[in-house]
Amino acid sequence: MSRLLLVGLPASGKTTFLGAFFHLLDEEDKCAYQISRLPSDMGQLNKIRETWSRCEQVPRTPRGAEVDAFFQIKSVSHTFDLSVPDNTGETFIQLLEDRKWDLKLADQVKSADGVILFVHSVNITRPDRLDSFTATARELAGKAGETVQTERVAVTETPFSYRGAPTQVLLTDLLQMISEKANKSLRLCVVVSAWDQVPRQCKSPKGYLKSQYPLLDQYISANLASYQAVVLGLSAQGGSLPEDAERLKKMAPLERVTLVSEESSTHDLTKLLEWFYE
Amino acid sequence: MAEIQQPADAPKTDDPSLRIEWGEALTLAQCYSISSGEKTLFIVLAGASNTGKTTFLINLFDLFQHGLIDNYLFAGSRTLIGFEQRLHSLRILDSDREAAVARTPSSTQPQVLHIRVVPTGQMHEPINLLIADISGEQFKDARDDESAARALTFLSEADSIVFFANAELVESEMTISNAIRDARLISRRFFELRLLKPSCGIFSVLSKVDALVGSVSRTEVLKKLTEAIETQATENGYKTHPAIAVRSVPVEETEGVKDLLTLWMKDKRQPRQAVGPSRSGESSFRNFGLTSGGIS
Repeated sequence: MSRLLLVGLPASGKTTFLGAFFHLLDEEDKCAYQISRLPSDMGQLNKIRETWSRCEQVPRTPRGAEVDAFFQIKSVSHTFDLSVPDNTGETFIQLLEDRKWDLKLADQVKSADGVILFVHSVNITRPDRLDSFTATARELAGKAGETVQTERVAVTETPFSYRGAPTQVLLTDLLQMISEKANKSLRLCVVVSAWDQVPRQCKSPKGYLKSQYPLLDQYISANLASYQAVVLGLSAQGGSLPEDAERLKKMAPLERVTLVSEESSTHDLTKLLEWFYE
Repeated sequence: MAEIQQPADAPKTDDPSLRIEWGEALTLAQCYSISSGEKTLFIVLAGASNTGKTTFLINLFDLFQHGLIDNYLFAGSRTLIGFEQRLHSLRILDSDREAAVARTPSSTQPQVLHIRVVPTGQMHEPINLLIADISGEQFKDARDDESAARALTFLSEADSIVFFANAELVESEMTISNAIRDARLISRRFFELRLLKPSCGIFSVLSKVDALVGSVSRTEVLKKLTEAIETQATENGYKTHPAIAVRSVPVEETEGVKDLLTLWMKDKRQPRQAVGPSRSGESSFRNFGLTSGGIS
């Protein structure tokens, strides 16, 4: 059994990916990989796929309703079993905060061949520049005493919460934890989701990661023994929902999807498996 | 009420292998798991309260966060929560210049923050920076009291030490000595008691240089700080580096923090090699000075 782990924070595009991925594997005979045998339990998977097909926002997976998708996959060259568990983003947040592995997730990591890490092009908590918040503080300090006092009380009561840390810090921490738990070299596919929202002048997923998630990018580049990585851009919906829903409904499902590498782009999302299995 | 019996084959959720014992600042004992596996530089930031030690540490992490360090890649950290906690303190308290960073808790044992770096270019070995963050109160006590200085036993493990002086205390050329006095006295205490090993790199930082008033020359203050540390160090057989100016925040990214990182990494004394346990179960990185009492 081959296993790919989907990793990402809440609203990073994991479930939308799974909906599009399942649909293309199941219905598109032009794709590089197809399902050779239906999963035994595909109720939840079908719900996700149907929502995706209707060009509706795929709802976030609630805890307890995680999908453990098992596929028998065939390509031109071979057939294999693939497990793609869809853990909720909250599962990963809890791991980061509690510093304790969920037993099931730990087993998934130990048996994984690779990781698909989702970074979102819009849902990002960026690190502040120290310059900026110190400048703001100085500006406040220059105002009337009462105002400064009020502002200070408001901010000093904000307790520290690790989940509020910059996205790149949390994702880097997750990769560190996974590497330690897996205790082997893993293939890593970093998927920049909502690629259609990335400014048009940015054509390189790798360049995007370097500019928007520099800490994560450095971590991956510096840890080649732990992760052999590729960075891809993915537009799994084809646009923003609900704004673009009517336009998207007029398109063939396959054409809504765009997977972008450094060299080319394709509508065939299943080609992502080539990074892991070819 | 009858107790609910767990089935014999139920997974043990209290399994210690499921716990992740790192994330916040490390204790000295926890540092061994890092130093035993890879090259390590143990760096002590020394200075009285409000001299910018923790701010310096945050600035270093901030530069990696924004990809502003050219020659080194961030290769991981066992203390990402520790950095974020300190950043959070800076965010919420910086409107009060007196409390710019939440004060480091007072203890003779430091909290250690970790950054693993890899030089860019060819494939180089990673180097782990273990940076001790200890309260200014402890250094003030060490300045005033020999026994308090001897209690800082971890100093004997330092590969580099950085003495901090606060430029905010310079009001005119006549008061330069006020700013560098603590750095001079603290370093002198350490040198005289031989609390640092002979190979320890000696650095000094003039922090918050953006607070210097117009008539005072930064170069002059830096020169006096360098001389103050150098004089004490040379008399006791230590070799020093020229003082470096650091702003409260790295407005010009090339300034100060980056320079010091480069100096640490290029220091001719090689970082300590990874050391596994010896036959006796100890290593040369032993217990980070938890029991020793200075360099004999």
